[in-house]
Amino acid sequence: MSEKERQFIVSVSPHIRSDVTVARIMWSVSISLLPALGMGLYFFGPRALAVVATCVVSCLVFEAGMQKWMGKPVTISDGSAFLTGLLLGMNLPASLWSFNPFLIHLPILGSFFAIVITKVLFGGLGYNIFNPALIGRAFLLISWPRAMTTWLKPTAGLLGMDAQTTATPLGILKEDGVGKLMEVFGTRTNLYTQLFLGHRAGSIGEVSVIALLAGGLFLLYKRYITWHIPITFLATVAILTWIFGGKDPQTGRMVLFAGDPLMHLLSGGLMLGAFFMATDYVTGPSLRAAQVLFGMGCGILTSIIRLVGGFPEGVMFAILLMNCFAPLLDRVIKTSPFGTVKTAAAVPGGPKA
Amino acid sequence: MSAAQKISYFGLIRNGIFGENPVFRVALSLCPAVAVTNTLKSGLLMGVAVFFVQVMANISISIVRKLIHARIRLPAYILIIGTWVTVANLLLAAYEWPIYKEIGLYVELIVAFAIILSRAELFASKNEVVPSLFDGLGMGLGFMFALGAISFVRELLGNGALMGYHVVNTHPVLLFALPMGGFFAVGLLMGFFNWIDIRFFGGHGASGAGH
Amino acid sequence: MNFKEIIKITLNLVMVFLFAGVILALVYAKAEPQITLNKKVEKENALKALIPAAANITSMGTYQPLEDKTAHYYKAVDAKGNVLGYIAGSYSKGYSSILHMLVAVGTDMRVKAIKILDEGETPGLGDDIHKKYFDDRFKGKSLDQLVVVKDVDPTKIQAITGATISSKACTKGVRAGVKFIMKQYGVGGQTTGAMGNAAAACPPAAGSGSNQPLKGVK
Repeated sequence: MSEKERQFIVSVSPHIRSDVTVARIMWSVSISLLPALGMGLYFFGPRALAVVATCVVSCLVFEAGMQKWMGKPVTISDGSAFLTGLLLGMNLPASLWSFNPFLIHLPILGSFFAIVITKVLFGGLGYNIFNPALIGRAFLLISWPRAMTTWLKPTAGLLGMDAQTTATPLGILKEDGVGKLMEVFGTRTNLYTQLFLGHRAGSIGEVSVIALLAGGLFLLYKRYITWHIPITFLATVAILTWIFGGKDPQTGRMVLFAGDPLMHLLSGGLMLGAFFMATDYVTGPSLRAAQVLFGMGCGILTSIIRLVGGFPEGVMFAILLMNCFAPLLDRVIKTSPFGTVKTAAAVPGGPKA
Repeated sequence: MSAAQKISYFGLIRNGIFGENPVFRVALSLCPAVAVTNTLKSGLLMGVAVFFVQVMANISISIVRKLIHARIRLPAYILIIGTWVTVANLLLAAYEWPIYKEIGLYVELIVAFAIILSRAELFASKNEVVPSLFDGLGMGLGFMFALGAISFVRELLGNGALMGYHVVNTHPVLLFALPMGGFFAVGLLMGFFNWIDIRFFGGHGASGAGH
Repeated sequence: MNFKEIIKITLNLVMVFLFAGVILALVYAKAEPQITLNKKVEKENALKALIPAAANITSMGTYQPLEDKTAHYYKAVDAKGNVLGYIAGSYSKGYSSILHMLVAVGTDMRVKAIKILDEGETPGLGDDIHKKYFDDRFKGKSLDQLVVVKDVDPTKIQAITGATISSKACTKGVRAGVKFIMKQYGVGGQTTGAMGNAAAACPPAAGSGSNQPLKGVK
């Protein structure tokens, strides 16, 4: 009984307007991101810290400033702006910091777009259609593609200051194929291990799968998220990349059932997206069946973009596109209110009893 | 509007630019407002082409309004609009070839712009030639103003340039040069002009127009 | 609807058509010659810019660089009739669009210059292929040098940072053009010093002559 009640409180959207719950969830999610952030800082050094800190601070400042300007109560203590800043920072390459003196403002601009355009202008927390952190990142990626795809080489060591750049595993796979990937990582086992630990180029927070899994399991254990979205998302990607991901190295033609699902699961921003961003209460559906469809949709779009699209990675665009469908999915999966005759209540605007 | 009602010509022009601005108020013809506004030059030239078609269509439809049978008025209006669009297109191709190559495709689409047919149906078909002329001038200027404003913002932010000359020496916000940036520019400018209207004019513009 | 109404509607439409027709005919008669001239001048300018020393550039026919794309190829001669080079139109499939380009090839079967006529690659990344710094990387390259590399290498084609696919596509189009010209006018795929049909048409002295405009091109 009490289990059921707890599930109900955290999953259906009207309840998230209660301040206590919002703050508790937001801060818990932020804490569960810390292991992944720690790994990111370990691999990418002080630059990564500077990028994430800039994002967090500017998100808080923009949220507070906009709320003050619009004469609304300032609610930055609920942690949602902090979480947006944290997620945005973790979704950016560490190279943004010293790539070019002109580009120091990129994390700030991304935060502006995430908080002001995506969230506040749509009505604040609970009214935004799209995940603010992802819109912030999409804005930066589209506007400054070169800076946003300059990845630092992971150099274990907190004080590593050398700024060698390299391509992400998915980038190598897209441009040069599996052969080159094997050349870089040696054996397949080594590839999986490095991806699992996070020793690879990528966004600050997306690299370390093991840390992300720890955070995701913590959220699942605390029942702040349910398995429906992340598991269907991951499973769909695994199945589709297994079926359609294989390529004949000579002809470049597609070979069915020859893909490498494990590599696709471990690389890119899939883990970060599936556990921490697709599960956002505000921009995802709240009904279980709709969440399953949502996760599948994210998985299909991610696989399509990765396998045939122009970008090497598609998690961000997949989640953003599915964000549009979240309200529709909730509506399609109709439920009849308790105690009403199904046929009459199921049709909106139909005859009232 | 009856003929007895006094119509201020200046009021008609002001109505087209502010009160019922085709893009920012009535939200018609948003397709060109997004498609051809990535540089100030093409935005303004598109504005000029629409201005020309709007004025000529309003005049000619007002002239023939009593001769056209009510049943076929829409095909007749479209034909008249289409004629002026083709004229504008040919003139552009002959005398402004570089511009034609850039916006020629969209100039041909003016024939389907909602704003022109809506002014023909709402105004020119019910009014004398001179008021129709001024209504066309107002709407054309309003459209030109809107496209100018949008393309000004987009070229400045998206390319760091104005009329092709670089004015900002930094990395531009590429998003605004892309079609999706057009939507952001239109939305933000719409909000901006609504804010000005409410702040300085008491917010009558949005609802104060006749129809 | 009675008979009178039908007549009126018919007359209405006929009148509108008539007036529209007259206006259009007048404007068309005035504008058409200018439009034809514009198109011709544009094409000539594009060809001329590739081999500025040429006095006459004539189309020699068409070929297919892509399966469903047909491109023209041209021969450029100077005022005395010496062959200066060849220009091939070419297409290739890029990152997000079909690239359309012109490739000028000297009589030594090396690239003289290229020009991208049409592309729809990512603004800010792939569309750098129409910038001078990238197009200049093709100058003087022979067929076997037309290979994309990621590092700085003046003997090959260095890819645009962040736009390897567009760079490769562009190079592929150039290769298609060069290959065709070599098949048509070169000998056995050789490059430097190859005197094919082109050389047969002009005496050896013209060989040095054909190098002159190369310097002029810069």
